[in-house]
Amino acid sequence: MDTSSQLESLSDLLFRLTHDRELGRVLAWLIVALLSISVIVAIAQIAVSVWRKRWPLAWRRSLIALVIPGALTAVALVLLMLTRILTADLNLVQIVTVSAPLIMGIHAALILSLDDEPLIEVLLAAPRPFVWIMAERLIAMLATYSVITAIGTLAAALITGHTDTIGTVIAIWLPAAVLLTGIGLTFTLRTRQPALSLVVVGIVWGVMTFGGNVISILWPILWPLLLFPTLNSDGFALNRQLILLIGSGLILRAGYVLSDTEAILLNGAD
Amino acid sequence: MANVLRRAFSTPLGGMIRYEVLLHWRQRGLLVVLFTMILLGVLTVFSLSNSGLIQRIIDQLSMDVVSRSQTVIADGQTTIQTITQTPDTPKNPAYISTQAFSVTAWPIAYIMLLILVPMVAADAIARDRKYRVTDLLDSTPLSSALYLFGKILGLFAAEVGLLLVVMILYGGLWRVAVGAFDIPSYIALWLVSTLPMLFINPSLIVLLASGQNGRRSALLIGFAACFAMFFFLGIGLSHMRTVGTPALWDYVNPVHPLVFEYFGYAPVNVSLQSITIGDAWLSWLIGAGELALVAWAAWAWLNRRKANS
Repeated sequence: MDTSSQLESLSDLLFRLTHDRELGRVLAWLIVALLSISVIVAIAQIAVSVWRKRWPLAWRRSLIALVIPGALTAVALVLLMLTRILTADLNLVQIVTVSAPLIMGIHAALILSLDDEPLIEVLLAAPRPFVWIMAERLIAMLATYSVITAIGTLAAALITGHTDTIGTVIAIWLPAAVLLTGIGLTFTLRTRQPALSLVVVGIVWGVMTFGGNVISILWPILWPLLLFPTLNSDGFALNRQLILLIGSGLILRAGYVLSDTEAILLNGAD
Repeated sequence: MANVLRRAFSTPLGGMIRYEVLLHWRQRGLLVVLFTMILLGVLTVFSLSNSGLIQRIIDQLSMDVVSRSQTVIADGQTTIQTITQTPDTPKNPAYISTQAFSVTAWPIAYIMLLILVPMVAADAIARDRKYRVTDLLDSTPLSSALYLFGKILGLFAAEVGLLLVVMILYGGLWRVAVGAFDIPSYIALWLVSTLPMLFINPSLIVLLASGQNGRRSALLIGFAACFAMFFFLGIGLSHMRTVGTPALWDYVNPVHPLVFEYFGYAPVNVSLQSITIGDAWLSWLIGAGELALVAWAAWAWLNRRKANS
């Protein structure tokens, strides 16, 4: 077989692989299985460590820091829903489900910028593990924005009359929010540059929101990774599980990185 | 030439510009934006070309007499009119190809640069405060005005490099996917439409965030400003496509929708062809005025802060 026919058969093979939805399903199930085990083990370890020693939580500080961003988010969602200027093709419910994960991801990129954390040496020297700071800020952030988004979803559903889809709508934005949160947090901790992390979150969101249909046409094997799949489409549940597990895995990984005090202190930005 | 450059960079302003360019590219934010533009360019140009949309637009632009149905809103009534028009653009195929580029690939690149670059650059001044560089600079004879000017020009110089690469890349992709195009008008398109935007909008956001103590709050302001810009662009486009002629707000709108419509939509939309290049330049002029106003406010704030510290 000469080189050109070898290249042709290779490109043929690649084309068939990238257009094989069933292969995508099998790979997705494998990844879901592996991630599920990892996430369950990690959560079990966290539960054991919390059971052994319960540290006090600074909820008030974390929640106060969210007042202005939360208020701005609510205003932004209301403005988008009222005007529907940029979102003419989306209904009110879709506006909320598409915008909320982006806002959460952006905020997650900013909640733990190690180079901007005041008195980080003092925090690291404290007996309470540093990862608890990440946990309390993350939980406060997710809880606050989830409440705002849930209220927005309910309001949009009541206005449009599609109240029977509330559960499915939550299944759309929640995994997407967890994934973008995980991406924002991981990138900020890894690069120590929240600006870069913001851009990455924005790009992932933008590509998935505006290019999701194109991706599913060009590379059907990637359908399990779509951030906003069509409601009730084939494999919807598997897609949501995979997105949620990847996001959870990234968040747990970020927590694991924070357990290394020396790395936090010494691996500063250039 | 080398002596001229050396002397230029040895001045305080020249030195600031040089280090700002190095810093912006070293921070990797602009690299990520560039990487995104590369991917976007490849996807956009080839997918639009394969879908046949570009050829349809080229055919439409090449027609001797154009007859289109347009929805017209007048006196509160909506009517559908058939408009016949003889285009006054030259029938040079290369020029038509450039026009097709400006209504297909250029708008997407423009919006991405409009949103991503300011987000990356928002913490340019807050970063100095974080690393205590501001304290050092306050002990030197460098004035606040020169400091702000250096920051803006340094950012702009870094963006010029980015734009140059994007222009060459998109031109190369278009040449491969579609065919020959008119290079002078292609360069003019980027210089008139995108270069002023890269000067005005990211600088606006850097100045708006200049009063922040930390990078995080500066970046939040940057993100909020980018969201607002996206929103204002939508309002501007929606307004003009409904009314057809620009109003005062379209000139004052900080996102300059007139420019976007003139280059990105008017060539294929008869109802928007009342917008002229003069409107686009006027919009840029007003944008420069807005930037000067915000720069003055930032300068006054910095001076007040210095006096109080």
